[in-house]
Amino acid sequence: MKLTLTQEQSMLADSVTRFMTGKNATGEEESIWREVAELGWLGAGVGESAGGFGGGREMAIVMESVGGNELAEALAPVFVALAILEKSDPEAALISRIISGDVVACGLLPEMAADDSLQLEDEMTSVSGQFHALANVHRARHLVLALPEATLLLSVSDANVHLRSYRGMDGKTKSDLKLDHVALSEASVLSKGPDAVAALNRARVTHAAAITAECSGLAAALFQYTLDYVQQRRQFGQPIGGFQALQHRLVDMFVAVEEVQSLALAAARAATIEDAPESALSRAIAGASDRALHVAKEAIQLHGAVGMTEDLPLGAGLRRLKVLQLVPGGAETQKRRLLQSFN
Amino acid sequence: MDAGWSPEDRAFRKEVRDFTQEKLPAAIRDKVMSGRPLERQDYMRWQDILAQKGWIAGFWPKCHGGQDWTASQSYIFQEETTYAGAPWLLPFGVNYVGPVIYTYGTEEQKARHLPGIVSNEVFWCQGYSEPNAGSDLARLSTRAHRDGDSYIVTGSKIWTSMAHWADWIFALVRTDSDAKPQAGISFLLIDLNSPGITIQPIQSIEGAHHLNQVFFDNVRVPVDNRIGEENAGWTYAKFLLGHERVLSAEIGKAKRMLERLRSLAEERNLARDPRYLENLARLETDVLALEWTTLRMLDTVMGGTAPGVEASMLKLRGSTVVQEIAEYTVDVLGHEALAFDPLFLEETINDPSSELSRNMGVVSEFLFQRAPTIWGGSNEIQRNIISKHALGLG
Ligand SMILES: Cc1cc2nc3c(=O)[nH]c(=O)nc-3n(C[C@H](O)[C@H](O)[C@H](O)COP(=O)(O)OP(=O)(O)OC[C@H]3O[C@@H](n4cnc5c(N)ncnc54)[C@H](O)[C@@H]3O)c2cc1C
Repeated sequence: MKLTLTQEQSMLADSVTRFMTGKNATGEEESIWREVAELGWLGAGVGESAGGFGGGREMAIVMESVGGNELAEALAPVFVALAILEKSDPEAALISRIISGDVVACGLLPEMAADDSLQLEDEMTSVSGQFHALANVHRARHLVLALPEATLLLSVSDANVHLRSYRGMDGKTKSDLKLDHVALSEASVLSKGPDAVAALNRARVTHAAAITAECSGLAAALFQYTLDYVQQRRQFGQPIGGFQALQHRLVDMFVAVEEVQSLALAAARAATIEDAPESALSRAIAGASDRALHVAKEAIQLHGAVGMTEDLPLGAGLRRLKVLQLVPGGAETQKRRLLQSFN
Repeated sequence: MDAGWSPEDRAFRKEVRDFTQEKLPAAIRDKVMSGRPLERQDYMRWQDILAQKGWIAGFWPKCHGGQDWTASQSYIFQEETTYAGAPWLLPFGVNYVGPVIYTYGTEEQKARHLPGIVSNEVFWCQGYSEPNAGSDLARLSTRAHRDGDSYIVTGSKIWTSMAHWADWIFALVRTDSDAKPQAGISFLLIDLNSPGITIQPIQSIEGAHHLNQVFFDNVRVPVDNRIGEENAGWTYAKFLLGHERVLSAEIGKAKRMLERLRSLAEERNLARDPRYLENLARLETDVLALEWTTLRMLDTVMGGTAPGVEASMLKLRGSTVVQEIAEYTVDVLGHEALAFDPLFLEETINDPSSELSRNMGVVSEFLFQRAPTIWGGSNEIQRNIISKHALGLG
């Protein structure tokens, strides 16, 4: 068994973290995206035969390292798209155009769709469905849809693809997407049957690894902020970190962060070897989200009033984690799927 | 479950209910119900209505413009009005500085300041916390030194809610740096129009502006504006904090929020969802336990015993229960909670028909409700108080 990072993986983590430090400012999003592409990090999602340098673990490392940063929400759907495309055809030209940052493609899972809305119609000649609060789709040229029956590549500019974008709780653009009998050509069906199932599995492990890695990076950042703060903030003539009541709270946060990391590792491993029961992926997402949310709320509480202000990134962390809980495909969806799996 | 209210209490409850139903403007009610931030004029409009009825300061003695309400009447008033969707009755004048003035102030101070509170003409804010004095309030360092019949005040207060809307601030200042921290503090009433005061906004995590930092740069304050003795301000400050804590268990608000939760869940076809039902049952149980703890405490107060650690207990549980309802309401909105834009909320604030802005109100309230466990003596501090004074530990 070897779960620790290889030297290359550690170096990747370091360089992404270093790059991200100080890149929190909003507005420069587009240029950061270009830089990230130029650095080749989008290639972390796919193997060498597809022009990348990684797999599930590398992708998770990138996601975790940007987890304290808002870029994460834009990256995750692209990694899912890349994973689906690689599984369908590692030599597809689109993959390298995505990795180079030329075009954006977003990967979609059936559980992200509004209840029962997703349908392949007329012997797979068209598809309909509704999705809410999708990340990064407003920038995307392509949508890659992993369904159990077929893997689909759709163009966002199709007249029957409707987008409505708005500002989300995390400050990022979200889009509601409506596929209204979008016609499927031969070229838009990337795979069918067992190949489609395999692509969907790959999409799911990638999604789980991405979401849990982001939770992990964000929770660790919020915890570190708080640990630093209680050592420096003085009340009653001593650092507040000296009060045992707070020490125990910090210990619980620490343990929560450790467990998020464990769940993220489990998901990243699953993404690498593409072998995990769906219920384990659901549990990893739900567990990572619950724990990270706990850390975010405690971070605010232990900072006192300053934690309630936009001067610190704690509120942004809480809002982002709430998004990961409520976004279709996120923790709430997974908890529902877990309950259903017992029926 | 009946708490054994007297016929007078029952009649009073009906009177408050009918009055609120008739007089509370629908636009304000709708904002409150959805959790959207209120503007100064919303608070003022409702408080003007109460002032006209003589109900702004009902628990005050009649001689100062109150109604001599009993503790149970105050409780009923708060429960009924908040349940019906009335704005939070701003406590800074009525609950905080008012009682300090009529208990410890001079005749001139009473004559000058109490009428403005009762008539809702003067907007007060609370200048206690400082950047380096939060939980450890006694270490405050805003200085006031004597210059003839004035104090010269220099320093800053922070987290001053609504200071940008206020006319006056009551502030704790240090008048003796050599004494023990608690022994060198004085309680001053300061006109916010005085030269040398600047107010800087602080943005909070729900995107609204209610917090401020207030800077004092050699601000001249007449000695006549000091409450009570010089260096005895801590006594008055603690008296005030006692009043602050009694109010914190907001039964009416909790019940109102539960009702909204139920209706939002029903609109989303969750009424039979087992996860929802279990959460609802848990929150309803919490509110019931809080309500009856409050009623027990009320009974003790009516029997003549001053509220002690019970008040800390109510602060602890009240803030937590409301916080949890607020968060779970967002969870019930699901992906509909994800469209959130504080600017939109501000712009469309007067459109009660907009479902989007109602949803955003729910999110805004969830974020804001992280605060009550921090303010008014944080919940950690309340636990310290309970363990020391109720359990005799430490
Ligand atoms: C929305 C909001 C509105 C406010 N409005 C006002 C206002 O109008 N006027 C005003 O004067 N103040 C106001 N406050 C300030 C409020 O009273 C303070 O936030 C509170 O007293 C805590 O102080 P602090 O924020 O400096 O936190 P700190 O005292 O620095 O505390 C930080 C953390 O340490 C914990 N802690 C501190 N000491 C101990 C201890 N001994 N044992 C265990 N844990 C401890 C706290 O519980 C907290 O979790 C407001 C605060 C908020 C959030």
